[in-house]
Amino acid sequence: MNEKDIMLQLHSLRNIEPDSQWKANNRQILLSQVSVFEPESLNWMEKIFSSSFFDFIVQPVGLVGLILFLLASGAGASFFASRDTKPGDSLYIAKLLGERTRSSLTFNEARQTKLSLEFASNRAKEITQVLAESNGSEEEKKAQVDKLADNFQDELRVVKNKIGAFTPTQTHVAKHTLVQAVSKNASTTNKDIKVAEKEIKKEGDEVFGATSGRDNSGTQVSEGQSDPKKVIEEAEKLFDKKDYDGAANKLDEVNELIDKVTAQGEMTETASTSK
Amino acid sequence: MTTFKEKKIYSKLKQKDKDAFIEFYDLYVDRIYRFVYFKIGNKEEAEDLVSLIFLKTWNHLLENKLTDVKTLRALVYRIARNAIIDHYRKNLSQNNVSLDDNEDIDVADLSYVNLIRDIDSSIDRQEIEKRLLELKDEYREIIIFKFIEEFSVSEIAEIIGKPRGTVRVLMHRALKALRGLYEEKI
Repeated sequence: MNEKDIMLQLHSLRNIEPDSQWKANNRQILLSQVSVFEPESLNWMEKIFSSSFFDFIVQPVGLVGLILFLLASGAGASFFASRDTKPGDSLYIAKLLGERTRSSLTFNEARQTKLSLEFASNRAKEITQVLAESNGSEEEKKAQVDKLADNFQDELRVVKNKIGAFTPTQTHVAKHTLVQAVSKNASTTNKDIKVAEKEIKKEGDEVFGATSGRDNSGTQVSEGQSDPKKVIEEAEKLFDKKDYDGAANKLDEVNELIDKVTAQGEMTETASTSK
Repeated sequence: MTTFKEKKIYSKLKQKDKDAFIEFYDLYVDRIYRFVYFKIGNKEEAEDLVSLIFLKTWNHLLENKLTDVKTLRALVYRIARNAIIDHYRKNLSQNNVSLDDNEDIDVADLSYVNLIRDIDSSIDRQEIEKRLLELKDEYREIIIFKFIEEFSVSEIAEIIGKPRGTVRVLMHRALKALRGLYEEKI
């Protein structure tokens, strides 16, 4: 007889059961015996810790929360430690992973653009760090710089694709000025708002000066230093001239411009909804 | 593997819930009966012992906070094993047989062999039951847990209080010994 046959026979032994009458009688006896017992009352803490809710909900949820907290704190710790690293450092990979994570967890267009600018700026700064490094051969440094330069261009491409949504337009400026005009007078009526709108058109020209183009369709107004696209172009030129720090500074400037524009947009939204 | 139902009952038993205990009885009485039956080989004695085991389990629940075992299964089988050992000691002391050598501690009870004729089973099944009785107690226990009740290695390890590696070795040896018994008879 082989092992398989033995197994089959062993399994068949599961059909052996106690006598059903005996089972029922025994159940009754047991029930009467345990019914005699009166459970002592538990205090509130004992009730909580011995409840099914605690066993099946609180404990597992608490465990998952603890794991997430440890992961997040570990990730946070390595993120902060890796901020100033460059290619070749042990924590550099943590820096890149942190950037990818932040990017994938950001859904707002403005913030994504800002992140791409930050990453591009990081690549430019890392090039400076790599070139300043005394260790490593020239060939290795060149390979690292080339790779960083490619990443820089990739990030800038993303920024340029998205930046159109955040360029200040005549409409933006008009709305901003309208809000300021309205907020000066708490009892502003609709009539007052229409009067203010007429003034805005005049002010819009004055804000942007001689280089502004009055385009009634509300398309992009090109304006000196306040145009992020222009600043990006300047950053690229500096980068090509190998002025990496200069390029990084320009990108930081673009980030500030986006902050201003988005702040203006939020203010106008708040004003329009409150009216 | 411990089911959700068992975990729920175990959780209620920590609060000494009587209804949960009766549910637990309904869930385990067949298994405990089979375990005891294959160990001691006598139907009436098995029934008495099973009643005792459940009462002992209830007493254990009253006196302890159930922190010593992870599952209900481990608890009741540990109590069952201890009850069987006590039963052996009582019977063997009555029959004046030494307990020191546990090689063949459980000799087949003739009444059990006769009883098999009353059970509606095939010749093969009778055969396997006989062989099971001839096995060393330790091996028989493993065979019951693993191949009849289909417990996992971890569960068996918790019940018998031995490491999982030891359980696997015992499983292998038990099956080999059982196969050996078959080959001897040919």
